[in-house]
Amino acid sequence: MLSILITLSASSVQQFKTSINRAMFRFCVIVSPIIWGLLLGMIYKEASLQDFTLFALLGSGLSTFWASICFSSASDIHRERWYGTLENIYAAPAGFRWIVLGKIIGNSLWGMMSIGISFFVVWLVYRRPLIIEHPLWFTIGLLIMTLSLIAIGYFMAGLFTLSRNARLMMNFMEFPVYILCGILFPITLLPKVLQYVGHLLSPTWAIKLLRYSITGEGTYNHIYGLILLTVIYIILADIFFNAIDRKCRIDATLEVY
Amino acid sequence: MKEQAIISVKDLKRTFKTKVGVIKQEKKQVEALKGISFDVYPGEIFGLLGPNGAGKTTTIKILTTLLAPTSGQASLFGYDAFGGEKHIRPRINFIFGGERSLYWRLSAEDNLKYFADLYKIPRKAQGALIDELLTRLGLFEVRKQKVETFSKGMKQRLQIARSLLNNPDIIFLDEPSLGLDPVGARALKQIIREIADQGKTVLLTTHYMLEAEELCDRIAIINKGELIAIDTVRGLKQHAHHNGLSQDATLEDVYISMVSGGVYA
Repeated sequence: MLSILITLSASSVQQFKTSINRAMFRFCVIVSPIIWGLLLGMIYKEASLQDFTLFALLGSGLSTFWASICFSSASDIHRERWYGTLENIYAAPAGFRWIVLGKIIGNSLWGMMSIGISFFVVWLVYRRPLIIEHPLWFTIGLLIMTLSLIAIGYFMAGLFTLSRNARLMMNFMEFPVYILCGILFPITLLPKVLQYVGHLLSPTWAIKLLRYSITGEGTYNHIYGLILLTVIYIILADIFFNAIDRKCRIDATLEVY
Repeated sequence: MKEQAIISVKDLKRTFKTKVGVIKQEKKQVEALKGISFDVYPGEIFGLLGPNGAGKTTTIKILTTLLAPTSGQASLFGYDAFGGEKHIRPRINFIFGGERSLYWRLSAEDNLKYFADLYKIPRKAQGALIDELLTRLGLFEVRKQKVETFSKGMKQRLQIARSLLNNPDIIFLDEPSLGLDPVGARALKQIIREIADQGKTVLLTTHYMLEAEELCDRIAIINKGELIAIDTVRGLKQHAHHNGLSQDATLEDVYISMVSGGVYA
């Protein structure tokens, strides 16, 4: 157990340092939340305080958090492949799955900082008060959603280890999540079919829970959907990582050629 | 009685499946290894020579538990490389040639600290170990510098330091002197000798015949996925001489003759 914790912490710190040294990552976690915050603030500045809080304040932060999971955690596997370090971390006795999880946690720490940046920018520029009816549920919702996004990143990292072409998926996974999960506007505006698809993604339930915590309307029962999906993602990722150990060596997907 | 092999390779085959063509894709199979067999004994420096695409790196990747064999067996310390990785990985390490396999945006020290954690080296022991390795490989003064500022030779030496972190019983060096200048290459040879002097087993691939001649106790030559010769340098030369090559022939002469179908044709 101690060795797993050391691996998680060492990989988080390593990723934390490596990622921020990349210009693209700095753009994703620092510049992008500012742009998103300004844009969404502009769009929602005439809306109700609750909508402003949910979509301008929170939506801008969550969208950049998702981008950091999508473009960094997942594509980091591809990056490691190009660095030539994927084979080294894969064969390290600490265990590939813990190393990858640690790296995703490292990126998520930066992602959480993005939420802080966008909050600050929106607050500073638009000067509208922050209304949260149930701060405890708000905190719980944010926390579980963070875990859930980490689980998604973990699952995707496994997929990207198995397939060198899976990176293409990364590019079209960013925007559908903003739209299908109701991060930028209410999911009820979407056709029913898309709403059903959205409910297969944990951020949708997280946004519903956060909406409840902000407006006080509805129910906190959305937490069950959020927890259930998060657990399913973790189980799927675990199954995936068990398969990886054999499959990526049979298919020779650890290297670039 | 002959010592027990630390690495044992029996009838090892590996096929890669690939697709060719853009619009109309066709599946193609490449046989990288066609059933090679050899043993390596503890403390040996064993050279694996062959032209590009001969199957050297594929062999090393199978032995380092990074690639599955299509058939045949590769075992280290008596454990199968495909299935027994838990027993093998803590006791081996590897370097693939070139400047990769390091985090260029981290310092040399941070790279080693990270890999020390991944090899489960107790944190209390890490400081002294890393300082010792950096000093031994002439990188102590630049330990705080980012790897991206290093020359190719410095990166190669840092890779060696990384590979020694877990005090492995077997070290795999795949073209470690690739692109090094003569001074760097000589320093590298010295380091490899020191590693072997400590009783470690070294499996080395190289395209530099002089390097192989100077370092290797035994050499296996692979060509087009098949093992065409295995012996000491002296043995290879003698055999070549019996097959018509001059007595003064160098290992390079012997090698070229073999891979071009001369001596063993």
